[in-house]
Amino acid sequence: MELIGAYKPGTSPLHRMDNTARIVSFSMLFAAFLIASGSILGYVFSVAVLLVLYRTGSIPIRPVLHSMKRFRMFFITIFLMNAFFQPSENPFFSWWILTFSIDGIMFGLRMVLSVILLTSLAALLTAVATPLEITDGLRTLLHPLSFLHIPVDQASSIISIAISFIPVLAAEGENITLSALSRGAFPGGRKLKDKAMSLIPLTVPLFLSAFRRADELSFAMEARGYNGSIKRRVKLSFGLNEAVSVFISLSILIAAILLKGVSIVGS
Amino acid sequence: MPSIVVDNISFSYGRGDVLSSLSFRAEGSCHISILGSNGSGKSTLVRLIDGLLPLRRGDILVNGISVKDEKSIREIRESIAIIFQDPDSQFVSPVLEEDTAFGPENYEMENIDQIVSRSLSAVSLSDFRKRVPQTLSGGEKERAQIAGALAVNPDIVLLDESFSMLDDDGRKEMDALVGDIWKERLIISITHSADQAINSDRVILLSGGKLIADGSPREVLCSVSLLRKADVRPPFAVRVRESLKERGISIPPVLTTGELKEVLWNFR
Ligand SMILES: Nc1ncnc2c1ncn2[C@@H]1O[C@H](COP(=O)(O)OP(=O)(O)OP(=O)(O)O)[C@@H](O)[C@H]1O
Ligand SMILES: [Mg+2]
Repeated sequence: MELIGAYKPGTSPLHRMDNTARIVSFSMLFAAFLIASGSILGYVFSVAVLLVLYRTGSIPIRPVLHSMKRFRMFFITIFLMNAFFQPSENPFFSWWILTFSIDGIMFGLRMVLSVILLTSLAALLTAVATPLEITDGLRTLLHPLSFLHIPVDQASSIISIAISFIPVLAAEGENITLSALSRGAFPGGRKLKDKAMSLIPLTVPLFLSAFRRADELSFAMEARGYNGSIKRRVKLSFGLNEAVSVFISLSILIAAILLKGVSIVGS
Repeated sequence: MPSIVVDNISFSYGRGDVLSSLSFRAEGSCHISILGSNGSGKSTLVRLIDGLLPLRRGDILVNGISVKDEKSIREIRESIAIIFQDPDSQFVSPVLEEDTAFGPENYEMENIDQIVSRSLSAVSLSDFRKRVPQTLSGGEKERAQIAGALAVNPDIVLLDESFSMLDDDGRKEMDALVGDIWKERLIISITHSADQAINSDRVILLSGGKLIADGSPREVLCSVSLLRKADVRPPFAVRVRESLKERGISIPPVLTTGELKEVLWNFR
């Protein structure tokens, strides 16, 4: 099973770069994608940037898009939620709080597209950087917040543990599904409600095992000397690679803002 | 010389004592097995020794330092390596070498790259440096755990049912590897199988959180009544001797399968 966002070792510039610079660059890219969303030109821009980024990181994008198919129910829900609740001047029909219109459909589509783009960008980050590297970058980036007594170290550790858990939990989810299937779960039922109900016996064991594993992992980490507040490798190695990448991301961010301006003026 | 002194400890998670009035001391380079049935408090003991759970009643000294002394807990943890049961919930990184470097980095050791190379090569995983640990085979995962422990150069190694996910041969191979790597250290292995405790220097038997026997494998493991009290199945040779006795055939006491063969051969 190809898992979305699983780490892929490599030697691309995205793999090699400094942890803090990487987080800074990706944050700017996230912002750029958010700003660019809304106009067709903006989406073309974001898609182009995304393709170039995947190329640079030597990560194939096809499997990522492919594994998005598994979230189709999620995307359909987002679409429907947005399509029906969008107020409009000239709806096809309108009933109670529901409105169905061209505007709504477009809005729903835009939301889905934005979610797919942002997920793909996040997947790229977790594919080129290990959870410990991401934590490392986040910690340096968020360090100023610790002066406000915000537990930055612990927060970064939690994020890191959550990321490293994704593959383990995905595998476990599959095991639990198989074992439920082998014991006769999912009888017939084609209706959405039946499907939803049949998920309940799967989520409970998945949550329980997530808690158990989190417990075991935290004991194992502590036993190996981990203590949320220990400063890990302080290696701010800001070289050419880092400067270039931060500069490029900044340019992309500025381009997105300009693009937004153009589309507002144009309309 | 590595040492652990457990001094009259009791522990409870909330209701009822999981460990009660437990005392023993372990010193020097030897291999001790702590044997007990499910729920007898073995894992709790391991966690207490490493200061992972708060100890209120009694005391534990590791190399002379109390686990209750919060300032020294780091020093204690640095001298102890633990390998827990399920390797999958112990990997902290999706790259093997980063996982191996985790301990040394936390303890701010020097020449981490070198330490990692040496540790991985000691368990023949040099070619797997960049691998995602979850994709290793069962035996390789266990060896990865050993490398992570080896990297911090511990005085004391605690194995909590460490290799129980492997088959018999795999487990024997790991035991041999561990015995070889940490010859000069204090090894404490936790198990619920009497057969696995046979080759250690000393066996401590727990039952319901109490110590009910502490002695050589021969003293503890040949005593069927003691083991029954602890709800632990006797070793294979001892069981064979028992069933022969029930059928009216009596043979001298035996502990290992080798001894049993010898006795049966002479018996003929
Ligand atoms: N976090 C916890 N909270 C409450 N009770 C616990 C907790 N962990 C363990 N226990 C209980 O403490 C007792 C001893 O557990 P422990 O894990 O130490 O036993 P064990 O000898 O290691 O067993 P096993 O051979 O199954 O690993 C058990 O009754 C268990 O249910
Ligand atoms: Mg246990």
